[in-house]
Amino acid sequence: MTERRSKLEIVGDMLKSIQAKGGMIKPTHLLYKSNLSHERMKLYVDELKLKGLIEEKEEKGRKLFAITDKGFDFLSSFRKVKELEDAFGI
Amino acid sequence: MIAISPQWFNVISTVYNALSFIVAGAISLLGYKAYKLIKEKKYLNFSIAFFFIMLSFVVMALTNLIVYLNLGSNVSRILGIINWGYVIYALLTVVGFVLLVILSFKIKDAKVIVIISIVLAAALLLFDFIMMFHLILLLLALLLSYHFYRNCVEKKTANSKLVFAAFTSMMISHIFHMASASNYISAGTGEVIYVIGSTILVAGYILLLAALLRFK
Repeated sequence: MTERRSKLEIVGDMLKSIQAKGGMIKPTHLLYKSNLSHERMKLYVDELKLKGLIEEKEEKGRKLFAITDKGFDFLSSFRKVKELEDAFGI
Repeated sequence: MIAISPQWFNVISTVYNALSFIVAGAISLLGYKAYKLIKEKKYLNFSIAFFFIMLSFVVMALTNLIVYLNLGSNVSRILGIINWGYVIYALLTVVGFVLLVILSFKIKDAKVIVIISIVLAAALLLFDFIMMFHLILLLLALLLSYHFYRNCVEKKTANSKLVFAAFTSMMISHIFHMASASNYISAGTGEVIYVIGSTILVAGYILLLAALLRFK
């Protein structure tokens, strides 16, 4: 059985998914990549938007989520925290 | 109650302390930054643990400095400063390591934490201080090494291996420090063993530094 992901890990996974798609991702892809229910993903997306880590964009009439500079900074700090956590097992 | 440190080793010892201070301070800062980012208490506790360890090296360095500046003055006063400096250094180090054990083993029961603190304080007060200090740190480092070994097996990352090696070095260093303070060993041999122990201890902090430098 796999361990439940923490809120931080979910946020990190979502931002990493957006980054892996070149900084922008379709909502359906994000839903698939973040492995969350539609309702939960919406909650997370709203929080990420509120914190300025992602923003909503429109391209050729399609809605996309884009990672912001603040989001990239957060992702970089998040990776350091994960490394600290993995190194010390805390 | 003075640690057996040869005089020629004082300058090297100061360098060792400075290096250990920088490493412990950098880890504490990283833990605090993690806390500011994530707001999870475990990062704050981690930061505080290394902050105590960092403070212990500050106290040790200050003690060495005061003694160095007071050379030639009253001998009993100097011995008093060394003793108090060493006691504060030892207490700060023990508190830092206990906090790390509590965090690593996810001990949340307040009663257990109070009992651990009372037992350690009593052991330090009732028995030979230097011996007990190194014995306590040996046991705490042993527990931490076990935790970091399990973590290393689970994560299999280079950093987790470095942290495990670092705390194992620290554990070994306290065996040497205990031996150096033993009554069964001559003063000359004790000094050599003390230097080896201190070098192994700083090697532990260098391993932690290597892990830190690998963080992207």
